[in-house]
Parts: sequence; structure tokens; C-alpha cells
Amino acid sequence: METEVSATALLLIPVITAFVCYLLKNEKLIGYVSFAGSLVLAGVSVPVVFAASSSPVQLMGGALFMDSLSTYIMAIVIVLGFASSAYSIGYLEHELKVGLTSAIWMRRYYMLLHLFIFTMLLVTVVNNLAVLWIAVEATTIVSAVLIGSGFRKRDLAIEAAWKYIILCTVGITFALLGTFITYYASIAVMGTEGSLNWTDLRAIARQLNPSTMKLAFIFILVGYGTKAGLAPVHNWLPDAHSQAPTPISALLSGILLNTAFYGIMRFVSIVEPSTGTAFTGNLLILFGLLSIGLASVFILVQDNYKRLLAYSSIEHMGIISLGVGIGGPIGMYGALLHILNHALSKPLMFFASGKIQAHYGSTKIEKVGGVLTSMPLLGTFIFIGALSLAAMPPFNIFISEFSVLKAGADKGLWTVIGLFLAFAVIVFYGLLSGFGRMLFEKGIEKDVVSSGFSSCRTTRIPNIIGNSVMFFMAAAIILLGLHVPSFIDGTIRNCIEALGVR
Amino acid sequence: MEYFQFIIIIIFSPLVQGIIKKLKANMQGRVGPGILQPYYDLIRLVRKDMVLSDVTSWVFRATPYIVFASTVAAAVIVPVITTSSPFGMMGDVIAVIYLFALGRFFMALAGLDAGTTFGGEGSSREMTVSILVEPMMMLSIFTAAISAGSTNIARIAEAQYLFYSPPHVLALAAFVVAIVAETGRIPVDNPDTHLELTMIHEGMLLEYSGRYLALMEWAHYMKQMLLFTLAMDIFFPLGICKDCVLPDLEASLGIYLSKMVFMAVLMAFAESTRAKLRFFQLPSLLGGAFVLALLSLLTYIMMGR
Amino acid sequence: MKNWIQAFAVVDFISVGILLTAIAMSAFRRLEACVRTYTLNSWLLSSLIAIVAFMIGETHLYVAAALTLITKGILLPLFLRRIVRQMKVARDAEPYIQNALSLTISGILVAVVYASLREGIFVSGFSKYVLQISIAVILIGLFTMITRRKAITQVIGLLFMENGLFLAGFSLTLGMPIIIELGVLFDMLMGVIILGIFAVQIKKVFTSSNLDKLTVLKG
Repeated sequence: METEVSATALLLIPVITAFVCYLLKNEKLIGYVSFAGSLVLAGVSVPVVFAASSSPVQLMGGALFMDSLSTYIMAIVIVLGFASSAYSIGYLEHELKVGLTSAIWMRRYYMLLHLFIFTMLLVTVVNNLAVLWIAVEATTIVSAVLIGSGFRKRDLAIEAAWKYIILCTVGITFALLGTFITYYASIAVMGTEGSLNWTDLRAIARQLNPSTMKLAFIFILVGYGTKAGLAPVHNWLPDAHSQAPTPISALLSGILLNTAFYGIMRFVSIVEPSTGTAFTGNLLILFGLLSIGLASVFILVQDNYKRLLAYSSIEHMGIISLGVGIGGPIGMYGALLHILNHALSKPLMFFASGKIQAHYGSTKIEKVGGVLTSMPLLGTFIFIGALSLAAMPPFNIFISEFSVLKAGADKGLWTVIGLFLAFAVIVFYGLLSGFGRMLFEKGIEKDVVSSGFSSCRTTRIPNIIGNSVMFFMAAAIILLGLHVPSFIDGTIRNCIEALGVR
Repeated sequence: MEYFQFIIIIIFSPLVQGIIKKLKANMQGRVGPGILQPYYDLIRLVRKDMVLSDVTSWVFRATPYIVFASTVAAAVIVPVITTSSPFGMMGDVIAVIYLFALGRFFMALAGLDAGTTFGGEGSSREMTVSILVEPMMMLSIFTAAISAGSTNIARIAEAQYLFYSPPHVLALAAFVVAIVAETGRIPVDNPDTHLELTMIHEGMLLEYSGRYLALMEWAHYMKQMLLFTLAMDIFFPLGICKDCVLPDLEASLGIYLSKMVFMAVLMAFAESTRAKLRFFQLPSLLGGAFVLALLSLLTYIMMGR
Repeated sequence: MKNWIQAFAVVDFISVGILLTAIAMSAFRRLEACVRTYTLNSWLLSSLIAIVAFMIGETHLYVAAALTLITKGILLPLFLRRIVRQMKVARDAEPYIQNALSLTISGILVAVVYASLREGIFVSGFSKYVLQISIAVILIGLFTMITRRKAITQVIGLLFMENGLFLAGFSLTLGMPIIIELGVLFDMLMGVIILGIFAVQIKKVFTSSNLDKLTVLKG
């Protein structure tokens, strides 16, 4: 009973926060209201997370379903939502002061931010695969408006938002076709009223027609893969993630891509019992390697650090796909841990680059320099984040990438591993040369706009909140790199069991 | 009687042309020429002297006879009021189309022969149009042929299959566009004027006079009526009789003539409500009709009906 | 009444009509004409659902037909027309592919769909060719999206894709539970509204609704 109340509250709170933010006229308060809202959300989610991660929970007559995988992703969504709303206070205050946004847009931003969090939560808690689709499409729509709200360079923002919404909607249309085909397959087994509930489908998964499910899976992979940023349907990603406001970029890269992958994972667990692991695994490995390879090449030639981070997201989604594709408990462990690790490192980098953009006024790498000397704390954060993204021990991403590698080695997929390592080296070089230039070289101090936002030393409250969020993320990166805490370890093992990976 | 059904085509074709012209005139608010005017025109032309250019070759002088003969041959093959014609075995629809093509080929040559610009222009445009039209006509007829199981027109007409189903409606639409293009009516070509922009058929005939012109015009009327007959036979064969005796044949003749009047009304209506397309827009129209014909074949195969 | 519908092959005609409107859309250049073909397509789609509901006797399909008619047949065309008027363009720019070639490619797409779906993976009879038509409509919509330059025609191509998708789902499973259809339609409506707003923004910011200008972000 308590769980039901908590779950309903979980879904209602972001919506309420959104509307309250929109209706508030006082610009100074909105940021704090949204921050409070996300705090309350985090508090309310705790009982739900604990209840559902030990054993699956079905609520509202089977409409909502939460097992450990749902709560894992949901927890990441809530934590990142909290971080973003914390960071947004300072970010939007700065933008308002500098004249890069208006009061009405600030209210819209906060409203959309919480609606965005709501739609992502919806993706993780629903049972019905069609409602999952609806929620994913809803995330596309809400985030498209956020992406297109950029004031700095209006034409680029609109271009990015247009490409994003068109490409993702086309992709998702195919995913809906895949969902329909799955429904059709379920009718064949279950009689006239088939079902799209994941729980029902999982129960009858072995009896579903293999060729039908293969066709369905192809459409699903193309559809949700577009949303997850897998090559070759990733074209919208660099534009969208680089043009969006910084906290939104953090959310997009950090968790939105992963919720799309969540959909793919749910489908994999339905498709595999009937078609065998080879079909889905090979497709996922193929797309994963393609993403990693493409991303690595583009990382080398980037001159815009936000686009660099976007391509890095593509690379890491490729690694997750590779992990799921290679399969087996170790591969899945690596993939799931990677989701968490990436969700820590990428937003940290985006937050830091937001501050840099505010300070230097440009997103081009060549215009930025000497960050480590002029803004030491920020520089350290960037240093930690960049090394982490490049999979350097002792940071967290190294552990998950290594797990994926080990799984591949166990299965004897030497070509795959070889390619992966080669691309990883290229990425290492690209990332570190790009960010290294920003950190160490003597910068051009011409366009520097030293504002309260970018300086890490002031004692203003928004900055303290933002900086402490970044500090905790950096600390978590280091901690996770040294030792994976038992509760995370246990949760991931539960997820693996829930997905039925053997 | 079955031996002579082609006489019907020879005799009544100028009448059909006259009806179309009269209807067009009425729709456009004019009084227009009488229905029998084409007959008077043909008689007048036969009685006139011919003026032949010296630069023309034997092709110019042979073409009217070739065109007229090939059209009469096509008329012999196509079943008009009965399907049990002794020439029926030869009545393959592909043969009919190629007989038309023979006539068209020689007309184009004759247009080039006189060396005038209008003739050359008419010939080249006619060839362009026919390249686009023939495949479309073939495809739409093939749809009907496949469902009837034979390309013999008589067999197709006899099959009396369900002519009302999406593939056949699409094929009929494409075929009507083909008729409009082949008979040189608006929106493909304007049969009433001799302006440079609107001459395809008229361009090729420009050098002819007297007896030759009469033959060519008559052949044109016959081709028009034959195309109508073909459309009716393939898509709307109601009323055609097989192995009939005389009273039934008369009924069949009546039904046939009313069908021709219906087609004439349709043509007149289509002509009066459209504007002529510029020549470079023709591929769009004919391409669209081609897709219709293609679709008719595809939907027939898809739906299995 | 049922025999009359069956004798006149109404269902066949409507399905072919849906395919024809899709092909016609790929040939038309004027924006108003494209919107009109979309409207016709949506009306044909909803009438197909209604007629099948009548033949089979499932009441929830009537609701689905009504929903489709209201959203896709009335609301969306109204919205699209408003956007077209706001953008003050009547003609499409010269598309990348000429009219006749565009038409032919649409025809070829239909042939390809037929050829590849011949092996009935799914059902036979009514569902089979409706499925083929629906996938053909999806492909034609995709093709139109790729080869057009104006923002609004891309949106219309997307809408055709969604119509084809709806038809595919309908032919496979005779519709989903109403709540899901409602959700999907609502999502689509919101998506198109946002797209429309962005299209107007494109016109304002780029002073031209030609999508060629949207190629700055590269690499």
C-alpha cells in the first residue's frame, strides 16, 4: 500500500513541480522551487526503489511494473534530475543576467525540465510496451522544445531541434511497427486478446514465433536505436546535444539515451528465448562496433568541445550495445555498470563545459585555454571527467569497459575485441588532446567574461549548490573506479537475473 | 454478318467524330457544325485536286494507303458487335497495337518527308508521346488479359469477368488517358487548331491535300472509334454477343452504338473541361497514368482478383 | 447491407484509394494539394476501419475510426492549413527529383513491397494485401520526406508514414486497445503541433522555409 502511494507520488511530483514553476512569477525563486521539487522526488522514490529492487512490484492492476532494472534506471533518472535542477539554478541565473534568455523562457525551461523528468520516469515504470513507446515519444517531444530554446545561436538551435524531432520520430515510427508485430505474435500464442505487457510476454516468450520476433526485433532496434544514438542512425545526436542548454545536454546524454536502451533491453529479453541469443547478439555487436568506430573517427576531427562530448556519448552507447550484444552475465554486468558510470561522467563534463562556455563565450576548443591555471577547481573536474571518459584507470568507466572486454574474451570474439581496443585508443587520443589543449595551453584571454557563475570561488548559493553537485559526481567517479559498492553490485546482479541472462 | 462487322467502323466513324465536335461546341456555348459534317468534308476532299510537293518521295504517296489499310485491318480484328468472328484467331490485342504503330510510323515518316518544320515537329512529338503511351496501354490491357487468361480480344470480351474491381478501374483510368493521347485530344493535343504549339497530329498531316488527306482523316476517325471499341470490349463488354442470330445482332448493334455515344460524350466533356498541357508537362501526365497502369497490374496480383 | 459492401468490393477500393492518395502526394508540388491528399487519405483510412468494424461487428473499432477521423481527418488538416497560411508559401520549391521520376519511383516502391512480402509471413486474405499497401505507404512517405525541400512537406511525409503505420497495425491485429490508440494519436498530435511551431520558427529565423539552409551543423 505504501508502495502504491509512493509510486503515484513519484509520478505526480514532477508534474506538479513543472506547473508550479511555470506559474511562479518571481524569477529568483523558480530555481529553488524546482530544486526543492527534485529533492522531494528523490525522497519519495526511496521506499519505492527499496521495495522494488528486492522483488518485482506490480501496481495499479499490472499497469505499472517495477523490477530491479526499472528501479536502477529510475534511480539514475532521479539523481541526474536532481543534479540538473541544482546546476540549472546558477546556469539560468547567469543566462538571465547576461541577456541570453528571458523570464518567460526561464519559466518554460523549468516546466519542461520537470516534464522531461516525468516522461523519463514514465518510461521506466510502465508494463505495457505500447505505453513505453508513448512515453519515449513524449520524451522526444518535450526535449525537442528544450533543445530548440537556445538563445545563443537561434538558427543552429532550430536546425538541431528540427533534425532531432524529425529523425527520432521517423525512427520511433518503425519501433511502433515492431511493437505491433510483437502484439501480433502474442495473439498467435495467447488467443484473440494478445497482450503487450512485458510480464505476460516474458512468460510466453519461448512460444512466440521466431521469425516474427526476428522481424519485430529488427524494427525495434532501428527505432529505439535511433533514439539511443546508435550508428548509423545517430545523425541527430551531435547537433542536438551540442545545441541544447547545458543541464539539458547533461540529461540527454546522461540518461535519455539510456532509457531508449532500456526499451531495447526489455525487448531483447522477450525476443531471445525464442530466437536464440545469436541473432540479437550479432545485431547489437554490429551496431555497437559501428557506433564506436564512427564516434572515434569524428572525435579526432572535432573543434567544438560540446560536439566532442556528444560523439563521446555515441561511443559509450556503442559500448553498452556491445556489452548487451556479447551477453552472458559478465557482458550484461559491464553494460549495466557502464550506464551508471557514463551517467556520472558525462553530466560532470557537460556541467563543467557549461561553466567554460559562460566564461570564455565560445564552444570552440581553440578559443579556450589555460583552464587549469585560471580556474583550478573546474580544471580538476574536467581532468577527472576527461580521463574517466577515455577509460583510464582508476576511474569508473575503466571497470565497465574492462568487463565488456572480458566477456568478449571469454566468448572468444577476438576480432570484436581487437576493433574495440583500436577504437578505444583513438578515442583516448582524441578526448585527451581536445581537453588537454583546453586545460594546459595558454589561452586567449580576450573574450573572457568573468562572471559569478563561472568562477568556482564565490560563496553565492547557486554556485555552491552547483559546485557541490559536481564535486560529488567527481568523487563518485573516483570511488566507483576503486571499488563498486555492494548495493550497486547487488542491484545489477538482480537486474541480470530479471532479464533472464544466463 | 460476322464477316462484315468492320464495315460498321468504316461507316460510323465520321459520325462519332461529328458527335464529339457538336457536343464540344454546345458545351462551349457555340452552335457548331452539324453531326454529318465530317461526311461532307470527306466527300469534298475527295473531289478536290491534290497538290504534291516535289521534294517528297514514295513514302509520302504510299503513306495514306498504308495508314488506311492498317486501320481497316485493325478494324477487322477487333470484335465490334460479336465475338465469333472468323478473323477472331488473329484478334490478338498486341497485333492491334502494332497495327496502330505501323500506321503511326509511316505518318511520322511522311511528316518528315516534306521537309517542313511543322511536319518534323509533329513527327518528333508524336513519337515522344507514343513512347510514353504504348507501355501504359500495354500494361493496362495486360491486367485485363491476365485475368481473362488470353490476349485475344474476343476471349477477353467473352470472359465477362468482374470488370468492377480496383485493378480494372485503375486500368480503365490509365487506358482512357491512353485514348486521349492516341487520338490527339486535349489535354495532349488540340485537334481543332493549326497553331504551332498545338499540333501533333495536324502537324504530320499538314502537307496533305485532296484524296490523300481524305484517306488520312478517315483513318484517324476509324482509329478513334477503334480505340473506343477496344476500351469497351476490354473493360465493359456487356452486350456483346457470341454466336448470335440476326435479331440479337441488331440488339447488339444498338447497344454498341449507344456505348460509342457514351464515349463520345465522355471525350467531349473531358476536352471541354481541361486546358491543353504544355509539351514538357506531358511526361508528368503520362507518367502518372503509367503508374496507374502499373498499380493496376500490381493490385491485381496482390489481391488475386 | 453487408452483402452490398462485399459485392461492390468496397474494402478493396478504399485500400487502393489509400495507396493512390499516397502516390499522388509524392507527385504534387503545391502545399495545399499535399494537405488535401493527406486529408483524403485520413478519411479513407477511418472509413476503412469503420466498414471493417461494421462487417465484423466489433464496437471498439467504431471508436477507433471516430478517433482517427477527428484527429487525422479534421484537427490535423486544420492545423496544417493554418501553418501553410502562416508561412505564406503556396508552391513547393523545385524538389530534388522531377515529378515523373518521383511518380515512377513510388510505383517501383509498391512493386518492391509486393515482391518482398509475397511469402506470407503473416496472414492471408484481407490482411495480407492491406499490410502490403500499408508498408508501401510507409515507404512512399519516407521517400517523400527525403526528396523534398520544404519543412512542411517533410511533416506531411511523416504524417503519411504514421497513417501507413496505423493501417499496418490495423491489418495485423485489428486495432489495439482504445487507451493505447488514444495515447498514440495524442502523441502524434503533440508531435505535429511542435513540428508546426518549429516550421514557422524556421521561416522566421531563416527567412525561407527551404530546408537547404539547415545544413550548417556538420561533422
